[in-house]
Amino acid sequence: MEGPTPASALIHAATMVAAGTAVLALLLPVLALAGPARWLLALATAATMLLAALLAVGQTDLKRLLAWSTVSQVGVMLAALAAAPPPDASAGPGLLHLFAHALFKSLLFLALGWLGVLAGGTAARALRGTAWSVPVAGAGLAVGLAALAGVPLLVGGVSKEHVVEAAWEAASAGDGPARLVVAALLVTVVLTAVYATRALLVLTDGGVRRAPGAAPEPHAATVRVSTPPVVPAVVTALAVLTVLGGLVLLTGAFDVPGFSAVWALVTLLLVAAGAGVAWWLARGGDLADRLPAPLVAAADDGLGADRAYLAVVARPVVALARLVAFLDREVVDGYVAATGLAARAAGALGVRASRPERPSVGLGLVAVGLLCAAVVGVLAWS
Amino acid sequence: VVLSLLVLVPLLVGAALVAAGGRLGVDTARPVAAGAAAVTALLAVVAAVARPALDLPWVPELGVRLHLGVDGISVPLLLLTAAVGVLVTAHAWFETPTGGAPATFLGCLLLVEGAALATFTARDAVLFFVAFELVLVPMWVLISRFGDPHDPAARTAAAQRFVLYTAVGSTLMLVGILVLVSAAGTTDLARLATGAGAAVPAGTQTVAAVLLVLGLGVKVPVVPLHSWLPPAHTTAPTAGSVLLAAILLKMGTYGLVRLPVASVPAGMDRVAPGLAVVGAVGVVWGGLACLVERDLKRLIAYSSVAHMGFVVLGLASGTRTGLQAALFANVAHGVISALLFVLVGGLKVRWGSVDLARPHPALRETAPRLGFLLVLGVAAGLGLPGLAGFWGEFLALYAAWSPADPAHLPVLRASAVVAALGAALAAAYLLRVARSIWLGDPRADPAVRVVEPPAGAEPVRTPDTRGVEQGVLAALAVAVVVLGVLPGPLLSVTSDAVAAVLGGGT
Repeated sequence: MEGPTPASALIHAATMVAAGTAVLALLLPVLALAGPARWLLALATAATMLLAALLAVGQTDLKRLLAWSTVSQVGVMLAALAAAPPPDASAGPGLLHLFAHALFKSLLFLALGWLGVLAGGTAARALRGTAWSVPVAGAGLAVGLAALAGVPLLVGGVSKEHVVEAAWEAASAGDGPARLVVAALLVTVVLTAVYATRALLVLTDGGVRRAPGAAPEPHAATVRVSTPPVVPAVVTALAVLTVLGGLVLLTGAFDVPGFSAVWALVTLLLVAAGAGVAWWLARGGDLADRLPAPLVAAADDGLGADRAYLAVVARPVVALARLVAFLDREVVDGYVAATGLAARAAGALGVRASRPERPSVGLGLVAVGLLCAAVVGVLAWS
Repeated sequence: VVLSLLVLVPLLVGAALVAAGGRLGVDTARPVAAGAAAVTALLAVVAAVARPALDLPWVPELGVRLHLGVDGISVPLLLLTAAVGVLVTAHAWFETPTGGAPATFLGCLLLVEGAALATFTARDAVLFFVAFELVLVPMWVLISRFGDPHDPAARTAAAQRFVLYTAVGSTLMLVGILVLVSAAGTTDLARLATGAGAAVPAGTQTVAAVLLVLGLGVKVPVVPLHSWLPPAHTTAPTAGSVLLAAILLKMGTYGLVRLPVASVPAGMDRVAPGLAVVGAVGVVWGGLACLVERDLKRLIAYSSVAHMGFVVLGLASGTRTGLQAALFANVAHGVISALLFVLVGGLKVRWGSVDLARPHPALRETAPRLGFLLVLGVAAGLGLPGLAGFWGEFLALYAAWSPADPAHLPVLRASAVVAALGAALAAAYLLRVARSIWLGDPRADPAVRVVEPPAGAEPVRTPDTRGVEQGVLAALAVAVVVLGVLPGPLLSVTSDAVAAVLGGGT
């Protein structure tokens, strides 16, 4: 999320997200045979999509909101794989959602990054009302957020509807993981609509409507950034793809069940409910401002996951490393150094023992040495 | 003829250079040494293709023969040694350490190379031992005379520790060889591998395997017998570090393949679980030590310990894949660590010290070519797919997951898991290096392009690499990429010989 805009678009939309899902989709025949693994994946993805969607609602930074929405949407893709039951498991719905997500998420990141450059930051406060000042970016964001929420006929709506429908079919056939996935999916659809609506309301906040560049943030850009023509072109192209992307189903590239009007209606109702809730809660402002401050802080903090990793993994490992360095220096090498010291001490003792005025000691030592050599020789011979 | 020349050219020229000492100027010594190394490299290529053999009676009373030969296991190491020989003698144009006559320095480099070539071609256990020992003395001279000029006491201590430690290891190895040879009745490595060794009673085999593994483990080095390596690397001159990492450590693993693995299969089978455990511990131990190490040269030395842990793990699996992995990782580590040591040695020459805790300007700004090569070396070291480091480590883990002897399955699988964790540590410590050196420290102003000087010292500039140093680095970098992209040729060279080693034993 801290990366520059193109890197964010690439990471969140295409490369890293695609890698995990694509590999798991290829391994689906194996996964389908492993019941416990499917349960684990279903539990993990259900928790991921719900938690990440909740965190997205409370983010004070819109780019971070998009980042959390990626986490949630990847949960949706993987949940589609977890909900595919054994006999003829199909990765189609999950891969279709991966395809859809790549389109609308890259659109969202690029358009939001564009506004962010003009407004001097991607915080919700800095971006408030900026959608009107750059109509192309604003329209792109509106289309992208609608697709993210899952409005039917847009690419995101088509794919999400198929994921839900496929999971429902498996669940109604009595498949355990699929039931869990369906329940989590339906809640996530509502939550996704909530945070997508929240972002849209912030960006189009009419009450504040003002030109970008006059942002209240102290670090706001004072230089007007000129926009090269390729930027609106890219955003427009991605927006068109987001609207028309659902047509990819006509090519038959994805193995998905047919269109179901019932599920389209259900998702539409859920999306409308989520959007309504968000609109009602926001009451003309930012939804996150209406939430209790500690909740927002916890969301911005990602529930402290980073600090937990630092405390549970990073610090102990570094402490262990220090211990190893100490052991290496003082204990392992200590034996080596001690050998040297012992040899020197033995030498000093030998010097003391074999003074010229006491030749008998020297003779005794030679005799002992000969005896040792003889014993070794006899033993080795036999 | 080719083989005797291959060994004799570097040894004789090296001895002549050492004998000439201060009477020979640096301008004569450099071309002579580089020429000898180049001729040796040509001979090595010829030997690798023609696979000649040399077999003369040496000490007939004991049945010891002057027997040199080349097979698939020695070919990669032969070529690596010859190539590294050329690179280190060429590197002398960039950096000839003070502390003695340049001819002595170059002569010692050639002596190490020649003795290593003799080790890799020896087909007789006693001859192997003699060649193995021959390396020690010139290496000791390199460290104690031509090492880090800033700290004479540490230099002497490191050199003494190196010689005494490895000499003790060699003594253990000699006892092991004598036990094996007296029980099997032959010193010929080929006959030992094809049955004479396996015929030895199991108890004696175990004794011989333990002695050989302990003795050679010092050279590899295996934790906890590694503590000579970091000081030796830290104080040795760049060329000495490269020889240590790229050639001397390889002699240890080569010896492990030739002697215990090939000759005493039953004994090795008993030792294998222990070897796997110390290998895995070495991977993690080296990685953890790297995580807090401040001196970059020491850090790379510890990373050698970690990488050799993978090699040992591959050997312990006792499978063809494992042995191939070990041999591949051996060569890959030789190339990668040579690259990193040439780089870090160059930085040390430029900066005077390579303390990671001191703020450095971003290398990508001040010396982009050096910076790129550093990132390449670091990426290869952490086992990024597509570079040399990946295949050896990946195959070693794969082999350890399904060892030859099912009785060792739990131990080897546990070792493989631990070693895989160590691979994650490698990413952590090498990225720490990249951050500190390549990205630099904002406290050191990149505009002035200097290292913040220690109190009272002159500011140090960081000129980018050029000329000979750049050529040496580029050759190593190309080798890293080629081995990573095309591992097939090297693996196919070793595969038949590995099958012969294991087939003869079991």
